[in-house]
Amino acid sequence: MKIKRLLIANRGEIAVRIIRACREADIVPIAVFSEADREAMHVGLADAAYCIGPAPAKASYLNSESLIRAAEATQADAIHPGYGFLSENAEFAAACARAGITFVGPPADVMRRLGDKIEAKRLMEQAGVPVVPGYSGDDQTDAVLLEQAKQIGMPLLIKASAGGGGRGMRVVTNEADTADSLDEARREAKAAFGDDRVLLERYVAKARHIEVQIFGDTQGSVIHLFERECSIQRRHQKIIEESPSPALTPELRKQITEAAVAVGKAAGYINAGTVEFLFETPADGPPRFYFLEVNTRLQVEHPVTELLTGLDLVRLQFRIAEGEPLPFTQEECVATGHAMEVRVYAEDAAVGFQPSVGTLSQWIEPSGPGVRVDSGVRRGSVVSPYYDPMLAKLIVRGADRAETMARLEQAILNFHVLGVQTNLAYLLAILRDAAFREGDLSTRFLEQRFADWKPDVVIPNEVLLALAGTVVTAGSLAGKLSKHSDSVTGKSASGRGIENSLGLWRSSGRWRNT
Amino acid sequence: MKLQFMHGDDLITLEAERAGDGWKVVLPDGSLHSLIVARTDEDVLHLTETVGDSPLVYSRQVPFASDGDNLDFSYAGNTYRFQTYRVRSAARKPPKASSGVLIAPMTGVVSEMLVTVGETVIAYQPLAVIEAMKVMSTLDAPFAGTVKMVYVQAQQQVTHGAPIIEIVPVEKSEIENSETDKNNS
Repeated sequence: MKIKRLLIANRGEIAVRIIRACREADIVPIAVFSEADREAMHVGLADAAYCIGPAPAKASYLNSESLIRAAEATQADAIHPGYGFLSENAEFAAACARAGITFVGPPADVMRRLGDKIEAKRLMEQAGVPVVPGYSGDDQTDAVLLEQAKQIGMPLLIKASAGGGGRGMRVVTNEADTADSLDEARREAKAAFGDDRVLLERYVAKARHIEVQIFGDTQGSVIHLFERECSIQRRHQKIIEESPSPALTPELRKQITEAAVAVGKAAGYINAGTVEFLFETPADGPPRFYFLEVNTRLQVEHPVTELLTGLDLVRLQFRIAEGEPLPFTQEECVATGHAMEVRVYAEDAAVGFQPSVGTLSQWIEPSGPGVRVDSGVRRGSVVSPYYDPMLAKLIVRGADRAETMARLEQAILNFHVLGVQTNLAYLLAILRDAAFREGDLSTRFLEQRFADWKPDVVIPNEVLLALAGTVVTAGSLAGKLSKHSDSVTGKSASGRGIENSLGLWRSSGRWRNT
Repeated sequence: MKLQFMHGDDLITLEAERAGDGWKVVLPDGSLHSLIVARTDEDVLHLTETVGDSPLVYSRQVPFASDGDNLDFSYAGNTYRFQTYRVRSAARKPPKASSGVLIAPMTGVVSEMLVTVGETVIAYQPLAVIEAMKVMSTLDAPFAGTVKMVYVQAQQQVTHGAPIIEIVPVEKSEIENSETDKNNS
């Protein structure tokens, strides 16, 4: 049944991105917002917007009842959950179904089976997909978990069963720290997901994170849309993703994508999902991969796949949710070129990547061929302490990895954010790292190569010249910058300046090209 | 003319002088630059540097933002903040941790306030939890003592460095409390 009015149960860049897809698909987009997000970008872009509660996420974006009420009040016939918040909450999907609202995502029972890491791992073991050795039992008492931890040995990975995005996850290297890490993981999991069950795994020391995008329809077909490598993570939070993975040969790609489709079929998968694998290249043997988990939602990094395949994954999601079959076969899916995404976070690398809160006094996005920016903010937006620090995603596409990196580097140089601190300089440094350029990646890459990274404290000459420039173009005395002098004396001086500088620029262009 | 700014605790002195259509600028390292500068937008500077009489130039766009005394610049993924130089800068130092005043480690929301005024606490006891963008930071008591002051309430937004709680050490708390009483009366 065709979706007519879609409520987007999310905020930020993903809400903006879904609104864009709604417009193309002739669906009326309806936004929701917390009291802190009244002025947020997604609110103004939708046809209707509904306040769902106070600023804390628990009271608004995680409030299932409030969202269902909003959908009923705005006569929405479907809900898209985005990612994070309630996107992998089976109870929410079930509540939508009970209210007669189409949930754009897999049905509740599929989510229950897969969204729960403990259950998913058992299902995959039965389906013959390789899994990382560990403990995924129901008995969650301290005694049992500590005993299992001892048996698995160090290093150990504690993961929230309901988790995602690194929340509620801890690596333990020293057995004495197990109990403390367990407490922390549980507390974080409880706060983030309302579920403090955990599973334990052998921590694969040097592994890549490679995931496969899958899609299933209600007719029973499951296809894959190739892989994404997301090994560049800081504290288990992905920050750079790309496709194709530099580690996969055509043969390995065939194996891993087939395994992902097998996972989808075993689970009766419907709509968009991502099958995550750990990929290991042991010194003494051929590369191996292990099933990690299925994310039963659209991923943050879905644009990487979109740039590579030319597909619009959100519109595909709508189509599947409407009960239509996949519009193509596996053989018809082609990926060409290379795509890479960086996540721009509001955080201060100079002080331990603390969240950075403020009002955006500048926001200039890069553009150009093969450059895409998905953002949920603009100049003047308030970055509040209530939600995720991701401001935008910058995604570029090139013919090959080298061209993609060169394009991405320029795009980062032309991305300007003031008012909050961002990780742009950090992203640039990673992109320029020799091992990164070689494609020699692992999930511990940043920990091993960038643990002590600090932004350069030397002020570049360009900035000092610009500092002088603000004063001379303001036409006022040293350090005095008033709005008045900006607009009056500044204009005539700058008009002449532009003329001159453009003239010089053109002549230099000819000089260099001939 | 002489242009002076503060960058953190450092004083930055630049010299700028008109030269034809452009400017000659001397940087703190003594280097001389011939510059044509324009605003391509209200708050984006277009710098074109000329090198001697050579037709070779390079040009850069540097966005900035001004907010009160602050001037922020964005360049190559980094941001740089300067302040108008004033002879007497009003230095209001944040309270030192050793004084027993615990400050917010980051801008965020007080998600939990675990103590009240007058409560006795032990060293390392969690006192409050600050949350920002899903990162939680717990304020622990630096030593055993008594809660003298609670500056904020749960769910209140706080900025980096804001005082949250003051603790008086166990051995001093008797004296301090009587002093507080005296001041109040």
